[in-house]
Amino acid sequence: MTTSSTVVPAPPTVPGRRRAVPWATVLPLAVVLAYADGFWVTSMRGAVGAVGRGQGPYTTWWHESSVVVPFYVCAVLGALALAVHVADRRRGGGRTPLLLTAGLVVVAATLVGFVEMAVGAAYDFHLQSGQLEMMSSMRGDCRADCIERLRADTWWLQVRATGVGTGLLLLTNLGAVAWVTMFLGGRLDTVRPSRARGGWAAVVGGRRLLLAAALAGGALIHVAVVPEHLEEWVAAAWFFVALTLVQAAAAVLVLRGPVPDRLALLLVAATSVGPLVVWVWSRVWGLPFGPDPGVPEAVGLPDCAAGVLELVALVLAVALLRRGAGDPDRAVADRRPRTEHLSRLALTAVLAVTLIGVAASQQGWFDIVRPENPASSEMG
Amino acid sequence: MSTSTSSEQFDPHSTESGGIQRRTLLRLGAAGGLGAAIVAARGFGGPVLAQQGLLSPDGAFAASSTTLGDLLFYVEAFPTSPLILSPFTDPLPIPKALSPVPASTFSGWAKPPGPGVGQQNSFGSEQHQIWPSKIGYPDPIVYKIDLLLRTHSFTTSQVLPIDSNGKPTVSFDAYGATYAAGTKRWLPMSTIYGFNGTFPGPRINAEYGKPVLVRFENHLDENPLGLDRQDFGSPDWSFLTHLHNGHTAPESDGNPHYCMTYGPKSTGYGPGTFCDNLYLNWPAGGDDREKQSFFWFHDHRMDHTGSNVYKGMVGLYPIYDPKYGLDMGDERQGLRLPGVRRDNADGSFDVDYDVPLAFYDCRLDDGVTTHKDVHDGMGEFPAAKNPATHPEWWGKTFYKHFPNHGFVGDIFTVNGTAYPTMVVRRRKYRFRFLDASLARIYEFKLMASTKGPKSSASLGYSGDELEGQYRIPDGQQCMQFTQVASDGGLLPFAIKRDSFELWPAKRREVIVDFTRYQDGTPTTKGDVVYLTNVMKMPNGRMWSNSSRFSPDPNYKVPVLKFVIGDDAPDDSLIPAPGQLLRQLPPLPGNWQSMLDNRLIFEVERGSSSADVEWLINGQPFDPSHDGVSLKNPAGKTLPAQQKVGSFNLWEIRNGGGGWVHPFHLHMEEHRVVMRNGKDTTKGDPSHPDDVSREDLAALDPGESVIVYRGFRDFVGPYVAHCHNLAHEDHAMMFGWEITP
Repeated sequence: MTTSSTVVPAPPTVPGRRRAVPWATVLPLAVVLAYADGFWVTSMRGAVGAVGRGQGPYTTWWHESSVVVPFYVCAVLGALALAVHVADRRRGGGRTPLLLTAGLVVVAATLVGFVEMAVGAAYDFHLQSGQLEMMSSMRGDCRADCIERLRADTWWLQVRATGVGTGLLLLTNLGAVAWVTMFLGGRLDTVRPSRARGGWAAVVGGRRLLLAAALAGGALIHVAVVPEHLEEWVAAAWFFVALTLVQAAAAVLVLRGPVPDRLALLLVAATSVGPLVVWVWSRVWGLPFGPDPGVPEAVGLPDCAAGVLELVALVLAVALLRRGAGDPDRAVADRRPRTEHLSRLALTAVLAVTLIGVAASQQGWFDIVRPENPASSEMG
Repeated sequence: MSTSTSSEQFDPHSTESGGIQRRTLLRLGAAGGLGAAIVAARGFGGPVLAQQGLLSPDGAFAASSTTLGDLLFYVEAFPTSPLILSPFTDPLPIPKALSPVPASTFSGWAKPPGPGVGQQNSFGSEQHQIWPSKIGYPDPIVYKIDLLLRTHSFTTSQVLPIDSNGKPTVSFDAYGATYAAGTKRWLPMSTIYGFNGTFPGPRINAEYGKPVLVRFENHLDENPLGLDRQDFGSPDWSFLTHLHNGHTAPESDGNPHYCMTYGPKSTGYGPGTFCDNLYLNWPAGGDDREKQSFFWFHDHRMDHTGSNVYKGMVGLYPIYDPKYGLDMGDERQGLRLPGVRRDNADGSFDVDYDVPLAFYDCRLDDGVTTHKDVHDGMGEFPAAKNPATHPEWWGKTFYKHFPNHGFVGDIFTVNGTAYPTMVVRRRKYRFRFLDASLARIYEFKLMASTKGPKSSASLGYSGDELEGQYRIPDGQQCMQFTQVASDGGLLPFAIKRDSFELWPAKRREVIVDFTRYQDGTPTTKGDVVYLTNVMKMPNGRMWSNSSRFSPDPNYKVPVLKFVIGDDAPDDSLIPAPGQLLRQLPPLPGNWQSMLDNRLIFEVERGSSSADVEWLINGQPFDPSHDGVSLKNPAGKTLPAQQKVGSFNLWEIRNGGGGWVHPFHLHMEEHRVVMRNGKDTTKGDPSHPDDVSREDLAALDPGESVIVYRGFRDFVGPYVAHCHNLAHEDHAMMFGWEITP
């Protein structure tokens, strides 16, 4: 790897300037890393994943890699923030060693890839366990201890695959970061100078923006599941339409004015607590009404994603309420670069969860197997 | 080494020409590196991927998954068999016709065969769907075949234990002794589960119009010789015999879809049970054009077909057509194909100069290769205590159920004997080729060699290149084959061929004229011609080299030695060019209008899990249900069910992944009408026998075929499956049904 320079002095601290997120570095890195890692995640699934999953691997790859790009953005942002932090502590500001930055990006991206692979492996194991029982019951020549042995073998296979896969991800990410660095002229900017803070964040504060994003994300997921519920139970579809409208309205209200409105925050808390309670109830005990009263519903990715966003919205709303609705968002005044990075990271994380939730609500975007038949894949 | 914390405007180098050049160079380097990688991948990887049908976005992932699977999952560690030191000395065994059971004998059986309810098997639960009298045929000729635990020897030669580098290595015996490297040994007998205790099993010479009933009786629980059963073969010693590809009722078809839902309602017929398979020897629809010429019977026990076949459950069933003497084994009549018929006193008959050749590859245990198998985890062979090495099994057959790409051996046998010799008369012969291997595909040529076979080890080969053990480096093609029949019986016209491929379970019948070479030179007594395999197939996935793809001129493995003997009378004829042998059943003129409503089945590798890996339309085999077609162009997702008496188009697709699939459809023969979207009804030079009837579609990677087939005479459940038996046993099968 080549560096841009080893003798370049620290950039001047210009009054009125702040150090913003270098999106021209972050986005290419995140995209390249997401698709490169996605290749191995998909290939590994094809090698040792559950039968029925992993069909149409090219489609799976670009679908899933696209969906996880925001997570890689988070990883790169986090790595850059940490690099700046380390550099600040070492020298009180100045150039961040390229190898440190690159190394942190590699580690962070590998961590994301590892989680993706491990989650996939766990899901595969879950499906394979079910399949073992199905095949055994079909033939009747594999009793309980035999199923346990096969399950243990399958578990060990998934563990080994995840281990080997992580090694491949690490090597791939090393290469990818080196290549992107070369493509960027031998440098990895950790910050980007900016004259003044502008945009939404400057007007409404980072936490309000985050709160609005979480609400909007939840609304998007809820509107995405309306068609599915229309087929099952029209009342449920109307509930999600109403919830979408309320969450969208709450997002707008939160963003209005120089300070957050207390009433709006209370509305946010209510629109978050309500669906969360309904969700937990429906998954644990089953709703007492509807097509299957008292029958717990299956937990799915879209509802988990919406639940996470509602929880985030609730926590942020409570935090803003506790501080006092009229107080300015402290984040506005905080100009430390890693804070800028971290606020963008939080926003991107909300985007990532939203994207996962929306994508999972659409048939064919994830290689998910229907619970009623472990061998059938929803892949289009 | 550092990076800038700011954008370029803060970097003094951005204003220096040196810095700009360096950055530009780096960017160019990155772009150039990417470009070079793409060009290199296309240049080097492209052809390899193309040969494996993987030159597509999905294919690249499949190749990568397969490589990872090899690393993590597949256990392709097979032993290197000891080198047979004196090949081509054992005579080729040619099974004689099995004697039928006299009526006086079978009528005295406790449960005699018959048309009544409960007379089809020992459970008393089934009845023959069509007894011969129903179609005006005589009562069946009855045979009895016992499933027996016995031994088999593949060679009488001494062997030299070698390792994967072809170097002499240590060996062992069943008593715990170890023998130093370089010690020549005699092989122990291998344990088999055999039809009447032999490998190959009996040969039944059948005739159209004369039904046959075979009582298959399971005695595999009896071990009078005190044999070690090793760690393969169905663990409950059950069997299920399929006459491949007889036009039979489901209860006599020996298929798991039937077996799991009717009759025994389990994976097979266990010890102490029997079933009567009734083979009507009746062409589909009573149409003479549907007559076939060479069946074989083999085990089809669910999940253990491969291990049972490998353990010996193979039998031969040539079928002759006496109508107008067309093909009745008498070269003075009809088509005058080679064959001199001798009628035996017991009602059977033999046909000289009409020789079945069953090809089978095996590996013998080297005592140091670990037996590691998914089936160990299922507790099937607890006594083996696998994973473990088994020096006590040194020299006996080695098998691995799963996971592997499909089992291939390194010793090639014909009719159960490794590298045999056949002294032939100076005349024409009819050879009935059968690939009884589990996964290996062969491509045969007839070659002459001045210097004769050399061991691959002595030629410096190692690893997979040792497969086949011997080569004829100076081998040159010296004769041609005249192909007269394929799976579905006589071709419409004979085809002259330099070589032909033989896929698992496929049959090809050829005439070889041993009186002269292809250049017209007469043969002389003592001349030698080698039947030579030129297809290199290092594992069960697909070939690495063959005449069609990347021929390897050095891969010439002799499998059978013909020694020209004395002259003999010869009344046979080689069919003249264009001479009609058997008319093809007609295709409807509007067959193309049936395309939209066809049934579509895509065979594909899933991914690894437990003992299921192979799928059809994304589903593993479910013996209790019929499969379902993919959505067809008419927008329908149809169940795999056909009305009796109907005809339809079925499409079989190879979903890719770098595997070839010999896909077998039970019940009626089909005719390929389209291959890869092209009409083949007028012939396809790359698949010359697409114009014949077949029961097995040979699917190259990524290929698809559309076949026209009928569903006549019987109702009930059947199956279709890949005949790479590792694939079949691990779920690449679907059930289908003929409905009333």
